[in-house]
Amino acid sequence: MTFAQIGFGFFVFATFWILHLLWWRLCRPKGEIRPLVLAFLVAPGLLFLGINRFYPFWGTLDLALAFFVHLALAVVYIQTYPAIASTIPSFRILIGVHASKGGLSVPEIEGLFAQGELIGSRVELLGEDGLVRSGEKGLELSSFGRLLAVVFLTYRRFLGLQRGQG
Amino acid sequence: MEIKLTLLALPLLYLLGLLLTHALAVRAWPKVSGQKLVLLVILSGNFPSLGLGIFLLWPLRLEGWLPVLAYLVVVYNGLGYGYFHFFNLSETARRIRLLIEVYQGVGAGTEKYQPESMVKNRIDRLVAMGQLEEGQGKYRVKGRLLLNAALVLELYKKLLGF
Repeated sequence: MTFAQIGFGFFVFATFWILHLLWWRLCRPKGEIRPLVLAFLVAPGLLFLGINRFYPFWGTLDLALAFFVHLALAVVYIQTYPAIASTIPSFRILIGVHASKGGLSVPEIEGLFAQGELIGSRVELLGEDGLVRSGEKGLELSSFGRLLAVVFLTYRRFLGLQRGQG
Repeated sequence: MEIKLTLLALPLLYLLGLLLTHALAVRAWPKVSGQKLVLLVILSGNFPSLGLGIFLLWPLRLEGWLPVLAYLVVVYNGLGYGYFHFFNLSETARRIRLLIEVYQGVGAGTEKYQPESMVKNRIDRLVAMGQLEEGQGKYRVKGRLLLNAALVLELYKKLLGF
């Protein structure tokens, strides 16, 4: 292994980050998870497979190492993206308190948020990502939504923690 | 060949190691803020992870160590950052809480989730993390780490056209 594989991983990530920037500036897609998975995992994965098949300037293992570097960066970005795309309540609180003179009380902090903003927007995003749908008895989970719920519940139990407070 | 396979397998070992160490740390220090603890686990894992990499690769008579160490540092910290957010999602994400509530049949998923408790939960977490402090009924900024992160994200949002 040389720095070339590391550099190529960074280069691929940078390329897809610029494409994502252009895509979002021209026509921001609905939902979050699917477009990001497409932009940073599926498309680069196909690129690496294509290089390996049609233009193999390195061996398969060297390309896989470069892909791992890209993958590490992509995971970082995908995990950070929700903080960029939506209102992070903790960040809104910090910016609000920072902008105030002399601090804010709890009711004043609550006043930083519009009615329904904290929950309604989340339900909409869950619907756009195909994780929930409206049923006869209220919200129902899709199979992927159910899988995610089980994964997070199992993870919290493994850590020995209660369900997160949201 | 063997070196490259080892380098491909190491990230999986790192993830497994992070998960097990984190589970042990949660049981050993149950009162420490969740985010602080997971960050400590990830950052302090850099040395054992590099050590494990060197231990496994040493017998293979590697010629260029520098790119290999750089690879291990990038991949371990990338995965560690991903793991931090995965934990954070399980702890603080409203969407995950809603999914779990719907799964467990708690109302329609939104009935028990009151904005007031959500705001209070976050204020308490920010105080526990040393980012806010309370005095005379008012909250003020104490640490600047998360505040600076919030300000950087605001700038990046503008770049993306939000």
